Amino acid sequence: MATAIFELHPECSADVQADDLRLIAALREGAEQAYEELLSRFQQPVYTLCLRLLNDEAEASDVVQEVFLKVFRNIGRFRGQSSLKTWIYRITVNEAHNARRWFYRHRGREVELDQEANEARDWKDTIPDGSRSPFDVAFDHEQADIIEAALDRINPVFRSAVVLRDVTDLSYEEISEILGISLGTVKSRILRGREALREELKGELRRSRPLRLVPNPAE
Amino acid sequence: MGCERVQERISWFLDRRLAAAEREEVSAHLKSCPSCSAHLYSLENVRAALQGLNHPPVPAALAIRLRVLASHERERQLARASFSARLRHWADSTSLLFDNLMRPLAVPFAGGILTALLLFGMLVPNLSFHHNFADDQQLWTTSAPGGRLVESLPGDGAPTWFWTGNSPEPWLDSTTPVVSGDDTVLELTIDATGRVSDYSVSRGQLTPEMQSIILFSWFTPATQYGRPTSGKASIVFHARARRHVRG
Repeated sequence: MATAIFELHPECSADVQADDLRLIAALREGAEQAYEELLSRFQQPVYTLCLRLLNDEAEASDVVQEVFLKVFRNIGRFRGQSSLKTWIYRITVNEAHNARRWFYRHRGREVELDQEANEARDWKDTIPDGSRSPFDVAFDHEQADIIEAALDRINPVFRSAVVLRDVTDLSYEEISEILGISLGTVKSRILRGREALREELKGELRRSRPLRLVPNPAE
Repeated sequence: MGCERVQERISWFLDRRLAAAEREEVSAHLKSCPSCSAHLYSLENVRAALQGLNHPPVPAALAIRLRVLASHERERQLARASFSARLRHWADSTSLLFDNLMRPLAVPFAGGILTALLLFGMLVPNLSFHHNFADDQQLWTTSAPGGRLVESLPGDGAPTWFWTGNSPEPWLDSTTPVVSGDDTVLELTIDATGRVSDYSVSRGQLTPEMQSIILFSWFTPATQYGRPTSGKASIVFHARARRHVRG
């Protein structure tokens, strides 16, 4: 799969690979600057990815720490078959997946208890409250909230593919490498994820502003 | 190309993943089919909304925790680089552990010692120790200048014992009635433990009797204000059977 990326952008990927190798060598030597560079290059995208996959800031923070711990501990075993970016993203996706599994296994009861309260605070019911704050801010926030809520509702399998494609802006080949699935499966997951999102957001995104002030359930 | 097939490919079309021929077909269909173009429009909206999601900055607390983590992991990696690094790391961490253990104790410990010293210093004048000064053999008052015979062994030819102080003995000469000209005087220096540490024979020869006294005698040391101290004893071996007893 990695060769496919290099074929697409040969000169760019060669640069990236040389850069990666230099950074990895510096990390193995324990150069302070290398740690700094790794963090400054990846902490923001990894955090964004975690946040979009988990939709929970506290949990995303925990997962980001786990991810970097694994990266630092395993950098010695990284053989460079894939790019550093895809390797780190693969760890991120796996950690986020584990965190979600843990969440459902250990906090299932809490979720059940909270469900009623969550439903009451669902975005559908908060729409009329937009008029309380300055309108534009509220509109932007709402828009983001709506999308996040919709992302949260679709199947996690499709969500990770869509997030990697549209939020993290990775190529199909990179996604297939990160998720460890074939290119065809990536295509179909992105397709189904987008369709599911489209269903969830039907009519929400293009609604004109005055209408948003009217209390109106989405479905 | 039918609507169903187009809608299957619409997502890839959006990502420009279709081959040129297929792409032409799909775009031709989209131009003619309003429902499919609406589908594409809504998918584009979804995609734009996802891309437009702001990227919330990494929380400051997380950034700091990551930096701490990186620093710890770096130390860990450096510590494992070689055997000497491992040893050094072990020594460092042990000394750090010791420091961390001791630091909270240091001030209380020093304070405790100082307080104890202060209290002891304040209490000492009030403590009364029983000194039996009366039992002291106060050499410095009794031996000088005339000397005092403390003990005299009875019997013919037995030596006469004098306890003396550290001062030279001007009284031990032939003019004094105690010592006559042909008497032998053995002067012993006795340390605080009561052993003979030095001797001198002022007149005459060192006899076996004197040697056995020097080697095997143990004296009760003189005391000064209740503490054992060094002193001198002079033994006069009389040439004639003559005893001097002075008290």
